Amino acid sequence: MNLLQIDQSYELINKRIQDVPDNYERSATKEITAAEIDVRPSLNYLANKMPAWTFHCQDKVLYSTLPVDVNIRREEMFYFAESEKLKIFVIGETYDEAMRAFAEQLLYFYEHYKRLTPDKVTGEAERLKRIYSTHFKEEDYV
Amino acid sequence: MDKNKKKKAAKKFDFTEVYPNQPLIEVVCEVRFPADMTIECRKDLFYAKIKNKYSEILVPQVQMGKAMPLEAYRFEKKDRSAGVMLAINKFSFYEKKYEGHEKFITEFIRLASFLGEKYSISKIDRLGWRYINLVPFTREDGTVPLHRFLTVSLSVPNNISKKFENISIVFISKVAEGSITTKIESVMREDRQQEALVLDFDFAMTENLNFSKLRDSVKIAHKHTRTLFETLITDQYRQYLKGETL
Repeated sequence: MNLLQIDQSYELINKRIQDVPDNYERSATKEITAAEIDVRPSLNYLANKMPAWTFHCQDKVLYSTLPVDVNIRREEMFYFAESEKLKIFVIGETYDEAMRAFAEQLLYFYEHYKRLTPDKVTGEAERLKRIYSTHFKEEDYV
Repeated sequence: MDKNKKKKAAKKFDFTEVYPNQPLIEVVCEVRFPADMTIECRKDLFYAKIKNKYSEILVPQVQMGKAMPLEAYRFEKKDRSAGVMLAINKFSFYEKKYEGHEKFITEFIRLASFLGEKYSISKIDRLGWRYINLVPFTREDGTVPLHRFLTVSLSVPNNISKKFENISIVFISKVAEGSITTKIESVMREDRQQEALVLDFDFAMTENLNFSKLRDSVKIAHKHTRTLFETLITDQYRQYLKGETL
């Protein structure tokens, strides 16, 4: 993701929001229930779960038919992205880095289980092969 | 919202269902009433009734241009998961750990009953129910994947890209018993480490309100807000909320 572009875009939103002449007031925000409750302070809140459907990795994209529940947590300097069901546990110095590592691991396991023939898997591996072959579809990233 | 859409939405969900992956960060219900001076002078009467549960007192900060009596005192639980706001003309109850509307409404009515008991409030000017959701997302192809989460689509001319880098929309719609303010905005954490969509739904009614029939009005407010939420989210996002995930 191009952070610079996004930063500028968020700044632009804030500028536009404030851009109302002094003798006017914003009619869409005039009457709000419990206006004291501002969402802004919540922006320090890190959601520990996030749904994801597409995973970009190098020149490939993996699409999932069901949302992948990515668990994210921060411990000291690192971000951990995990999926217990898919047995993926990765780490990154930033949130984006952890998510990128998650996509790389996902693609790696997808290809790994795709290569394995049914007679080569048993137990947990059988379950994972079934998940990857049923719920994921790969496409070249254009 | 047309009737067919409402019917379809009603079939897809159950009002009593609390999603395991719900994105709610705050639910608040507020009543406004003609200002009562007793509240300004005797907030202790109300506090005495609730302090066993909402013991933490948060006083409003003095701000230039704001009238202090109109600013609400907050009484919160020790763990800050829920609280009450009280000013001379309004009262609200909010929860950050929402366990479903039935529990919420029961607690709201219990707390509101102290208003009638301790002060002479019998008329209500406005009732509002607000759901604030924070939906974390990762960008797809550098854009906000709005289509994954919401059924809202913006109709723009062909030569304008629908690949939105960021979104900020507010609209107020008239519904049978009041109006709903819908706010959809992409936001980023202050440390720039996570992006999310804020879905802020605010239902307000100003007519046919009566303090003695508060429970009925609150139920109506909840119904409208929940229906809007369910109509606005996509089936694939609902799957995630229900825990049907990989």
